[in-house]
Amino acid sequence: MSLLIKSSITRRIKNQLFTLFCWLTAIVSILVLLNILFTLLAKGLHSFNIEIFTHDTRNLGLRNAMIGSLMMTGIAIIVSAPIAILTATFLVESKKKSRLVTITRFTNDILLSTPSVIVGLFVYTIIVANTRFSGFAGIIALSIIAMPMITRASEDVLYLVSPMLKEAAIALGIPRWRVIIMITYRSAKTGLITAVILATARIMGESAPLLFTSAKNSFLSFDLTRPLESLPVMIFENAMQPYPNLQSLAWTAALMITVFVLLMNLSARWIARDKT
Amino acid sequence: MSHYFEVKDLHFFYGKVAALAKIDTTIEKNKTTAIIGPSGSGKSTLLRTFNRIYELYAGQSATGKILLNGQSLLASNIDINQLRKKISMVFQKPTPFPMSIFDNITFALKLHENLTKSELSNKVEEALVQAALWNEVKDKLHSAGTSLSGGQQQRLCIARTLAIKPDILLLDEPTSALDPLSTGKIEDLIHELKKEYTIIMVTHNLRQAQRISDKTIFMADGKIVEQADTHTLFTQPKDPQTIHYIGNE
Repeated sequence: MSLLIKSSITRRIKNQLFTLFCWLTAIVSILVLLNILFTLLAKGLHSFNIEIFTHDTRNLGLRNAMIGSLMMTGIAIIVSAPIAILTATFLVESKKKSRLVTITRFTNDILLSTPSVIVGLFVYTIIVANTRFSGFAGIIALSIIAMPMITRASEDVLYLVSPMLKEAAIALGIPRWRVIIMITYRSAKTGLITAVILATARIMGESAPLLFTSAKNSFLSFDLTRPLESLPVMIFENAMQPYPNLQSLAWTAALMITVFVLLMNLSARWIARDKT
Repeated sequence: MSHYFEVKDLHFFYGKVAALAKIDTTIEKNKTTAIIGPSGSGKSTLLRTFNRIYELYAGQSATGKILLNGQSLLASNIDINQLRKKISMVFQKPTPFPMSIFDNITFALKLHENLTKSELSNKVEEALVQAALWNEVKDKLHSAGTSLSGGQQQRLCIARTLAIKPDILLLDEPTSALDPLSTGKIEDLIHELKKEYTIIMVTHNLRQAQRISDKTIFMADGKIVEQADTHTLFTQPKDPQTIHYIGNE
């Protein structure tokens, strides 16, 4: 009997130690996040005023950087999301596990783990070196980063759509392409939107691929054939400056990126919410 | 004399593994046929050859003949979507599409027929009445199909199949995921549908086969062991395997 009691006591101790350990690690990660957010707010709010929306970076505003970032991120996602989702559809829906499927998935995984600075250098060598720094080059670099992310996440989501549901639609004599668009995409809607949003959030904060592509431009510009200011590059540039007001502006820019990403997440949840 | 629906020397393969061997049977118009047999005997596989749904997957193939009114269904020049409209299928688990009840029914309908809005509404009502679901959903046609209970979802699936007016209705264990009450409702429904449709149903439930079907096919190991009209098969089975299977239930 005593043996039984002892083992139950050690088991309870182990159990509680493990629970405690889980709690501690959870608290540590939350503290790190809160610390980042707090620093961001404390330092970012310092230079936050209405003028950052009306002035450009040359006059201690953020207007040109915000517009440049939104333009490049937005177009890059509009370009990459359809290609990525169709690629994922090909990977999931192709009947035979052909060589092309294996190669595509492998290439995509490699691309996914390519450091973004290399993507930037690649676009620099192929495009910028033959033309000039431009918003287009930045868009291409951001698309190359977003595409494999969306492909991967969409593939996972599309796999989860019940095969029986697809069969049920096909068994009603509905052509396959229609089933994919009306049934598969619809069932996977929330997941697909999340995939796109996560990729948007990621490329919104990328500076490495833009350093060598869209470069910087302290004036307001909508011309994609010329250099374009962006928030991450502006943060990188300003953080290196010895002037406190420029550093402070970089913090505000970091805060702005965070706010954009947060808003995007919230709106995505709102769009994807189950209406029933 | 040629039969309404005829299967001749049908073999089926998953890759190189034979799943069905030498299937020969006939099915008469406006009769209900039950396919029974232990798990893995090839009942569902047989059903899945009738609308060629197996073709969605690589490596699955069928040889032999399946004839509807003398027309070969396995021929490569058949319009596969028309075939599946004529020979339509309801699955084991309810599979409502991610859309409203109304759209669940019109989704396939719109594709096969050119209808005005009011004609569509009429067809939806007609299908739901036929599937004995109208009274339960008439006030919420535009809420999601997934919001219904399991039994209601399955009747919705039957309704949307009926809406496209198939000639043959394939039911793959349509009540296996349902509670007894819902099962009863679906069985009553099948009784009603018998008058207008040719029904081929896979079932694990021998009582259900007895209650509903006119003819029963007993399968084991990918072969038809015995087939006869339901009463005969259950009262005077001939093959020892059939006797054993029916006796054990």
